[in-house]
Amino acid sequence: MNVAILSESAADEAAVRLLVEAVLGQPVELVPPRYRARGWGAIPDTIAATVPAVYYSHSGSAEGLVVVLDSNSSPVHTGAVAALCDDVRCRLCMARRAVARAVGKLRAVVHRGPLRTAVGLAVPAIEAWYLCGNDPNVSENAWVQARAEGQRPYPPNQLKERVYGTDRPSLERETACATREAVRIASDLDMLERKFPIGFGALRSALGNWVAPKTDA
Amino acid sequence: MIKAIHFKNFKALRDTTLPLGRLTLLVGPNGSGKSTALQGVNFWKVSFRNTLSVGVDLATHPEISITVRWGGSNAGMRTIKSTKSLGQNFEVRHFDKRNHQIPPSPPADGLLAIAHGTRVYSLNATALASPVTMVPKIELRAEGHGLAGVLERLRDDAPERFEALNEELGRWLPEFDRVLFDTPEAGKKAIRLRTRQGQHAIPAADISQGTLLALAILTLAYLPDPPPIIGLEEPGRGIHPRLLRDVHDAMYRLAYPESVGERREPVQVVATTHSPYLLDLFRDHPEEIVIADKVEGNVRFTRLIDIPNYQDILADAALGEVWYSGALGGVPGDR
Repeated sequence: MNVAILSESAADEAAVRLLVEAVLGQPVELVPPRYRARGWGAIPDTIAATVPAVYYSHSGSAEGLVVVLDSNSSPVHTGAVAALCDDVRCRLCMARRAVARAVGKLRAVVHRGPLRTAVGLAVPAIEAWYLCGNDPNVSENAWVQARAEGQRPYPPNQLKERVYGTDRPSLERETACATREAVRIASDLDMLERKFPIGFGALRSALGNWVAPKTDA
Repeated sequence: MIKAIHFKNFKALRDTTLPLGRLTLLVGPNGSGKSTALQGVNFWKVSFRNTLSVGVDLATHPEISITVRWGGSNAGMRTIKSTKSLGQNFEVRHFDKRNHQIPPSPPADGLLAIAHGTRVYSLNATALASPVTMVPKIELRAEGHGLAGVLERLRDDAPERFEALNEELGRWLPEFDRVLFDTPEAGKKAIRLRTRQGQHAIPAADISQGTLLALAILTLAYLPDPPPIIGLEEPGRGIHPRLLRDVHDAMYRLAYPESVGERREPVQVVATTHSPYLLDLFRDHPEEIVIADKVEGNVRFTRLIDIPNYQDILADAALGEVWYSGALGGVPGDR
């Protein structure tokens, strides 16, 4: 399947691609250009630009757009994963709203099906996903509980140090480690969803809707 | 490693201290003394001629000085002072930390490396592309002359590093896969870049400015014996914002060799930039950012982490965006 991914770095993109392949159960080809997010202030505008760029693109034919971003220290989504929550600072819902708004503005194109979309949010950063199965203390629940107590259990630099062996990784090292860890965690998506039911759960659930349900003939 | 440099009446820097770490990224408006500060990093070779700040009253501020404080096992301090005398001549004197005048030669301690090893680069494409007359121990010069010779020396003296550089070049600029050499005339060397598709050898003169600047920074990062202190003026100039991550990585390779498994001494890197995109990449290490501000005719250098409540100001925003907004200072004044 041809897919476009909006992510924060080339390393994240490589890992997300592997996770998307694992969820969809089929190979994923990334359609150029590669889309990048830069800072949360610009995310709604970036999504608003990316959605039509992917849909109307003449350089490729992506059937779907996957958006995976870091939550950083923003409040974590509350309530049912599939539903939008009330907290305007929830980045999962902010991104999903921006995607829905942009998709709603698309005009029908002949021979072009509707654009499939899926949004995921790594809490607090994608390195937390990479530690799934290797560090039982890293999970959305641990993060939410610690934040409720006014603590920051694992700052971004610490997560990087643990995943990449340095808090100043080169992009090459980041990509190699991200790929290695994504291959590992993709082999047990249920565990990843148990540890990250909101950010990864939302992604997996949305991707699940991409595959047409099998019906008995 | 230089810990700090104090400037007095040195060009725009009237009375200010620049704090430095292993890697320092200096941001601020035009004319806020960033380039002057880089000259100060290279203080041993600095010229005091024509340095008095505009508006300084020579009768009351006759002294120009640069004081360098360095750390490590041979920590010390050295002040170079100059007093303007008749005929525009400057008498330069050296002082130790007790303000005792001392001979101007560098002692065989930490200062020796600083005095002889510091290089400040303000690279330009024309110099980088120019053919090189080969001499022993050729070095990259301030504007970039010598690149072809330095690369050829790397190929001959450290072939594994040269191969690694070619691999990295291919990651940075996938349209190219190798640095080639050319002899445009007897005794001269020039570089060409080979295209991945078609294997065409493109002469340096036909290569884009950004590509040449990227190649020069990459070359510095792969030298087995880089200068112990490097100043880089606008290392991201002419380079696509997405490639700035590679420039950032090259600076980290120099300053934190252990992070890439290199076993050599760290290089102290001081760089200036106006790029919010480059600044974004230092989000996780605010201690490496110094902000220059013009304050009532003087310049003030402030480490980002010394700005009160900087974490609240930054929150989760992109660092470059916050800097552009003015919330951290380091922006032009009102017009």
